[in-house]
Amino acid sequence: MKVTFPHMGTLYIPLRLLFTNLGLEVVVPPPISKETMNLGVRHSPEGACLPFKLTLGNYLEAAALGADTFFMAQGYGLCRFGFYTEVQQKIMRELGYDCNMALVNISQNVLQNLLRRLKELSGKSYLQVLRAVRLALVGIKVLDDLEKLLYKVRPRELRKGESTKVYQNTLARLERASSVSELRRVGSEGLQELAAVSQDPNRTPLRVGILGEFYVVLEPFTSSDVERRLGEMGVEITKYLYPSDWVSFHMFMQLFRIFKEHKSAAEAARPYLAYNVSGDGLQTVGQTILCAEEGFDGIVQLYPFTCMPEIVAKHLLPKVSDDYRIPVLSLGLDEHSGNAGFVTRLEAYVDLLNRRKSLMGREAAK
Amino acid sequence: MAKVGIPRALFYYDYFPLWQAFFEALGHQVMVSDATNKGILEDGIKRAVDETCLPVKLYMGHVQNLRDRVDYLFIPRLVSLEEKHFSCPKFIGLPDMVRGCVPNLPPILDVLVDLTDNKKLTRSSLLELGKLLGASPAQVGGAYQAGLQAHRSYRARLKQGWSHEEGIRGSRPETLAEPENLLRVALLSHPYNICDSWASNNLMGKLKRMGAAVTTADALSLGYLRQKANTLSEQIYWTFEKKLAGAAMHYLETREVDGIILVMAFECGPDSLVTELIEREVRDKLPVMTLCMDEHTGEAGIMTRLEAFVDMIVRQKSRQEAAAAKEWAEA
Ligand code: SF4
Ligand code: SF4
Repeated sequence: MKVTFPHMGTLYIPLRLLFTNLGLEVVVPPPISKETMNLGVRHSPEGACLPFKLTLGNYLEAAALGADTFFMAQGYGLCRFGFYTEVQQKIMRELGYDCNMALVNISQNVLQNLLRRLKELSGKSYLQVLRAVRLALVGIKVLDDLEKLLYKVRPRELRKGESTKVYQNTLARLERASSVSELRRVGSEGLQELAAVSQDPNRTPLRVGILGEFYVVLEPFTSSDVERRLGEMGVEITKYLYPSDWVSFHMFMQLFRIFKEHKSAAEAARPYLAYNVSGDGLQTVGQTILCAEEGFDGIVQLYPFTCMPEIVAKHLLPKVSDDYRIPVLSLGLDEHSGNAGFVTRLEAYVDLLNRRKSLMGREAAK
Repeated sequence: MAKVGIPRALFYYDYFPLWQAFFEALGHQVMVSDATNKGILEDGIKRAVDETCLPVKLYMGHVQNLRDRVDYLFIPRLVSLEEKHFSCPKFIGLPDMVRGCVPNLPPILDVLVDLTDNKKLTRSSLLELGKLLGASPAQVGGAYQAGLQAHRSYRARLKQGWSHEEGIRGSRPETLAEPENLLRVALLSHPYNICDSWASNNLMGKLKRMGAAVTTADALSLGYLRQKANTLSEQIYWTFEKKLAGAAMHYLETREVDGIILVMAFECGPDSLVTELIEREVRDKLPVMTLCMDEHTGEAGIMTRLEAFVDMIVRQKSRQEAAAAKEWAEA
């Protein structure tokens, strides 16, 4: 048995740790590339959303390397996502791959379902499984903290690209870490190194919230690395969908702070969108309002083309944007996006935000 | 007496008789938007987000067509019509999307139906709606019973082979005995994709003119469809798509039809996956084709594909018959 899973940003690091720690053989899919995309697109239904195509691409590339057990979340009420594997499994079988789906139902009782599935896969005791899960969760937290600092440092760095290099260095070291203490040590070294990147203390970067559908927010390949591009244009970005937040929300409801955050986004959205439309649509609308109230300069909404919850949100964002006077850039993503036009749109948007900011600054000075 | 408007789009084809009876029992007049026409489509395209599916665009157009003639617009929020099953996110956000996109609206009656996570709120939202219209809880209860009654007789008519339009009208033209059709085709889709003859380029009529008898998933009972759907996948958690899957599995087993045509809107999320699953299951065993539609779909394109499909079925059928005849002759 060789286990694999789809890529989602840096999650491959904690996931690999999780499985190797349980004594399972793991095939990490090759990093997402044009080939992954082409492969996924070729075998997917045309109208499927981008995450479907890319995760299928991951599976097929991993299967070619011998993977036969596919670890993935499933469940109702998750938009199309909870139904992906039903179709992907059929496609892979028809292509002649031997495939077992190791699914974790995340509609309810996430933690129990996860532990049970891992126990079944590995044959280890609950204690051992718990230990491995804890290791992975520490990894997730370390990675998220690094990313958050990266977004602060990048727009202020004096030598373009330096923070990215430091960050990637740390990732490479994290890939080799194998214990909780090692993860924490490498993580805090990484944070220190990032903080030590030489920065311009006088710069006040634009502040932009990155909202939208979680897969494309998590996986930079889908948006031609919109985060790095914005950062290097001098924009400090803030994201709200972190795997560690998701974990604390869904697995350990007790983290009250996060619970409240989601709730207040829903409350803020209420006059515009009064019900959870599954996926992240409600949060996109609500968080746009919260960001505007916090004085953000702009919002970038990332979503896969035909993404239903985000299209619901997109029907409402023009009004929100008007009422709260915050410019929103909606970027629909598919296998054809990410061309030159994409960068031009980003640049034009950042220009607009800069002009607005200096205009408002001047008005305030008067 | 107030005028309550119901747009002739989306769930109109599933639930109009229910809500018509409901509002009429409360003493109100129900108004429906005009049949889809070019103006309605154009208004819808202007109002809705470009990337949304045709059915939602049409819905917006129908809302605009009605808004100046009614005191209220009825736009329910259909979240979950049975436990652990859902509508697509656009159904869930529909009242909000309409408010966000169509200006100068009369008040919207947006009753909630969520039988998975919010049963209580579902009941109270209906009472709330009654209150808005000046009805007591008892009156609302009575009106709802009248609605269910109307719904049941509508479903019964569909099962007898009435078209949705005939079922809603409540009458059926006295036709001569149905001609002996050579072909039988199942047209599987959300009703709004195939019942709106303008928006669907009169798909149903075209098939009939080619000599095919057409049947839809609504001719089968819901409980049965659900059960059949599970033989394809137990995981389908969309109420409407579950019906389609169930119908496909039924026809695959019984061979009551010579072919299956799946019809979906281009940007439809649930259908993009479920029709794929159905097609892969069926295609080696029974002729099957998927038609994707949007506002640019031309009459000619549909005609070509329909003709090719019907030809293929006819050829296959005559081949089978010839083979059977030969077998019989040799025996
Ligand atoms: S949220 Fe969007 S991208 Fe995710 S499954 Fe749903 S439609 Fe696809
Ligand atoms: S089910 Fe499909 S066609 Fe219907 S509203 Fe939703 S996305 Fe559009």
